[in-house]
Amino acid sequence: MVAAENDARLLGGVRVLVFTLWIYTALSASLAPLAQLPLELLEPPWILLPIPRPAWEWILQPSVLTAFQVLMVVASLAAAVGVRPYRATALLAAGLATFDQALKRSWGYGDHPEILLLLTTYVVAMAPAGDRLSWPRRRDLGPHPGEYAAAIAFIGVIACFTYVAPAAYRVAHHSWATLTSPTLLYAIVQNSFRGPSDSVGVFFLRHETLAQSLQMTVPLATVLELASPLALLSRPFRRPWLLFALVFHTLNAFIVAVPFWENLVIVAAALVAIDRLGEDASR
Amino acid sequence: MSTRNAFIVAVLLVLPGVLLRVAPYVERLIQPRASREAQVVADSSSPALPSGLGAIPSALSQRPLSLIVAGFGIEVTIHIIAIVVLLRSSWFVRLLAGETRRSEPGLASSAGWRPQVMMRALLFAMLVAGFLAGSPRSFPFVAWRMYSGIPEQPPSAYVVTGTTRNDASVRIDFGHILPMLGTYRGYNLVAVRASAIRHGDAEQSTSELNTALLSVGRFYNRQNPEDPIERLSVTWAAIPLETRERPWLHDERLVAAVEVD
Repeated sequence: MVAAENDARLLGGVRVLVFTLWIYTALSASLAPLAQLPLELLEPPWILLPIPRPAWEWILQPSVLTAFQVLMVVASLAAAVGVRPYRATALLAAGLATFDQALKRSWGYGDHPEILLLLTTYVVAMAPAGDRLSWPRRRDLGPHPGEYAAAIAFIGVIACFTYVAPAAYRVAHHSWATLTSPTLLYAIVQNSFRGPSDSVGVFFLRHETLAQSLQMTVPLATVLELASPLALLSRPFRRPWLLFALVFHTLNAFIVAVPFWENLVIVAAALVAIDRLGEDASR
Repeated sequence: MSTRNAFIVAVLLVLPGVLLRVAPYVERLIQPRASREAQVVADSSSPALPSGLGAIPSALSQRPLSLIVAGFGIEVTIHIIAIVVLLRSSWFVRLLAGETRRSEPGLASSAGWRPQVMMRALLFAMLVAGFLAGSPRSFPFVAWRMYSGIPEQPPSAYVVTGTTRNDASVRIDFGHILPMLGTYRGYNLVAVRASAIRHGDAEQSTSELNTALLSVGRFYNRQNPEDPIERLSVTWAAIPLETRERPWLHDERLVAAVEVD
């Protein structure tokens, strides 16, 4: 019982983290200006295709977008606190987060930063994550005590596979180019010159040796990305791998201008939680 | 779980992704050879799909089909190996199945875990399907491809520059102008359409690009009413990796320009 109690608290902690990140995301920028983007350029992901065209004209009004944003903050806050009924609240918050992210990818470009956070939200919403660290306080645990650890382990699995997938693609389709071409310098320069400041790209163009040295880290990073499932299985490997993830994401953010901090937060939370699961469930 | 069972489960989990990825090729493979060659000619003369838009086209690259198939086979194999490694660990499988607390006194058995396990398996299969066959349109189940390969052309950028009423030249900071989209999604509002024009889709994309530029200009002017932009242009430029000194931008070409009201 003590172990299940511990697992429920850990999952509750992941729930608080996930929905707090959504509150931060919702509050970081007003959605209302989206109403001023041209409707004729709207090309929503397939998940939003059921919304008919006339409905978009209603949705893309400043007042509706602001109301949606307020609802998203309230639902995420309720899910973070763990109010009853938890699953309904959490699923509502997950649905609103999905709409928010799909909407932001509806004008021609979809990128990855918040995707792992979104998938984690689905897992947390489906799991009994409101049983602990919630208000009002629950007296009893759910009838399936293994579910707490299972949800945490599954979040770890999907987090790690977001590292396996790009590495697998790199190895499978472009292994020779990864070893022999300046793929990283290419990405640094390309991304740097897209923004208002090209200083990082210019720096690496001027310092060829440094750029070549950095390129040598790509095969190593690829191997460590492929090895990420071992961080789920092996406690001795877990902390060094987390250190790699920290360095990897920091370099990505500052050098390649690809800040994936949401991925780092989720993978770190999952691995730390797996590390702290009750004795008989952790390795 | 035995290696055999782990392998079967892994194959079942990656199968939807494999089928979705292979489907566009099947039609080509069953076409007669002459018809296939005609299709290749038609494809090569059609405009390229701008990055970030639409589904993954059936022809992904200039590589021969045999290399694409071999690469895809390796990609799938790596996913299967990674899944088998996890499933070979009995304690981790029990953890994922929610069975780790079954023996604890006073608690019900985990007989009710199956729907949860099935939902997680479905979510994972969709995730892998996105890895193998996804596109930006299939969000949130998309392909994750980073720092893979290097195009034959040098890096390039679309530089969006405005001329203000006071004749100042300003380079647009998309993260600042469109914070609700963010830097890259804002930049690509213009870049994917400019890219489509450069790759031959001038008719529709010119109109779309002008609309996008006008919209960006108006956003800028709302934030900077004291010195608004009167003209906004987008130029394409190459940045050869051999460049060591200024100028960094080479072969600059004007793609479009609009007057901002």
